[in-house]
Amino acid sequence: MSTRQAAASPGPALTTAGWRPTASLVRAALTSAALATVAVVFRRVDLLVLATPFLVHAAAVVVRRPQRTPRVTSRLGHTALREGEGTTLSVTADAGDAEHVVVALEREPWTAFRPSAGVAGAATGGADRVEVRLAVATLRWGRRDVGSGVVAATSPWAGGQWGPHRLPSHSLTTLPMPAVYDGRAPVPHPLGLVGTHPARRAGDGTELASIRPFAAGDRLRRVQWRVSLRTGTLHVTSTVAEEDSGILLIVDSSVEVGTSGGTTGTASSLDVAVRAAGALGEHYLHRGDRVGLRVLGAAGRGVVPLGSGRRHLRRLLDTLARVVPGERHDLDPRRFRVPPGTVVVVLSPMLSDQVVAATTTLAQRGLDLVVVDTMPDDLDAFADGPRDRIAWRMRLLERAALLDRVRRAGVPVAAWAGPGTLDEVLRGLSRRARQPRMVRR
Amino acid sequence: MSMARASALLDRAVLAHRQQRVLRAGVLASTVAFLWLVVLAGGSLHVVVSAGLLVLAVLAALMPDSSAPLFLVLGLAGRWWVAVPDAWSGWTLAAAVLLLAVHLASTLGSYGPPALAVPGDLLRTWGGRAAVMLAVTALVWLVAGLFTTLALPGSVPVLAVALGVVVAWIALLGRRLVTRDGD
Repeated sequence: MSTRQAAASPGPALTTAGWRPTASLVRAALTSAALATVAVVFRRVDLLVLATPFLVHAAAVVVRRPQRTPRVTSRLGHTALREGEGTTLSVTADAGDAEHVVVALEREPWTAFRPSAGVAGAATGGADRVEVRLAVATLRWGRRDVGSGVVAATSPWAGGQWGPHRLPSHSLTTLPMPAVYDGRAPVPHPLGLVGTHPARRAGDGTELASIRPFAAGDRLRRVQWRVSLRTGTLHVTSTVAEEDSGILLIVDSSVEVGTSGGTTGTASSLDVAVRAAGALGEHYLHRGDRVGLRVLGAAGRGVVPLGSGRRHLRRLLDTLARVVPGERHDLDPRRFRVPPGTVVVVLSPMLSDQVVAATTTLAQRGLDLVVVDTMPDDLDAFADGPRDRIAWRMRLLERAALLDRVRRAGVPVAAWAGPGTLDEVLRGLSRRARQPRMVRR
Repeated sequence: MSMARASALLDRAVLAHRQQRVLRAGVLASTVAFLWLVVLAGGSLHVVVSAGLLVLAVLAALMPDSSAPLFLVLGLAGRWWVAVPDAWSGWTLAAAVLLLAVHLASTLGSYGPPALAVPGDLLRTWGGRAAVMLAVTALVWLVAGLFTTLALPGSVPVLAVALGVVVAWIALLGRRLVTRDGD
């Protein structure tokens, strides 16, 4: 999916205040005055020689006094990126009487710059306009402000300084990393109109269902000539209809285990959940299925109803990018409106009793449910020290009991492993779908 | 200076661009060379004063946009005034070059944070400016040498005119420093 080219409007122009003397000008002025005075009073021609370079510098500044102050605007090239992508922050100055413009950006979490220090400058070279560009990249999904910092300018002969003045920040949405996911297993209950999953009813499709006698309305190109010649009566090939399916992704944002290293380091449980949800959503939407999203713990803005298409994918990824870890709202599973036939995928480290209760409640409603375990494998990644390790080991034992409870409710649990994670699980669900079972309404 | 501020200064120095490190090393090197020049020009080596000037040089290298370079330049010039006999020589021109080096290195180091590299075309512009300043200095040095050689006597009117010029210069500079342009 290509990133949307932003026509981000530039921030407000900075025109406050004027030029003030630099330390260099003060040094040239005071040194020349002091040395000239002493040279004249004490008749020391060598001091006059020492004062001369400073006299020349100060005189040049007096002659080249700056009058016009710069006018600065800043603009971010893109307002939405995927993890690992970057954009350009452009700071444009109508230079006025400036000879050099410098931009220094503030360090923000999960943000990288090039140059790496976030400092860049440009000489005007006499031009009326100069542009300072810095590359900006965010290292983790989310929505954050970037580009805040300061801008300053220096006049000719370093006589005057304008600024530093604050640069406004720009909002940047970083969508989850485009994880590679592929799955070959069909979804158990396709119920839509068009799609790629084999349905239970006969219809137009590519998968062979049976060879049966010709009936009125059958298409001539479906005639199976070999069987027809052998039996003496016309037979046709019937196929299984292909339909789309509904997949509801439930992301547990109420707890985050482990420390996120962004795109370059280890992934926390929430990183795994968000990226896996993005990968699953992208995969099934590209196959023509309907995908919805529910962020457990998000206050109202974490709901994306079932839908399809590229625009829907962007809406899904935007909602994932807005996930804030640790919020604890709305864990009542009775408020989940899940259409029948929808496969529900819960992405969670399954540490919370509430999430487990919500999962088992959904399973008891007869829905096909899969739990993707997003817990990091490496205990060292989130346990600091021996005491922490012991506490985590005890917590993981309790968690194992919770997972057993989920499995006993008939919900398969699979650890996220990238491509093919859900294949076996979905095949098992398809087989189970053909068998009768008790549900609670 | 608080420990936190000192620590932040050192952190910034560590992250300095290579060009900035060269400029700041130039401040230190020019100071050391100037102190050595004082000895070569006939002055004595005053350990305490020299140590104090070296400390000022370190502060000027760490904070080129502060007042430290001003006190360093005045301190070095004062050391020359006190220590070197009143004589015109080639060392005087060399001393002017070194003082200018301290001043220009501090100026270029104060264009931005330590991580900033001053653009090449601006460096070339300053190279031209330095050449102009040195050319005028060399001219003044030659004229001063002429006056010294001819042993022209000083007179009250001449001194009064010279003082008047200096006072006018100070007044002009003072007005320039106080006025904020472009408001």
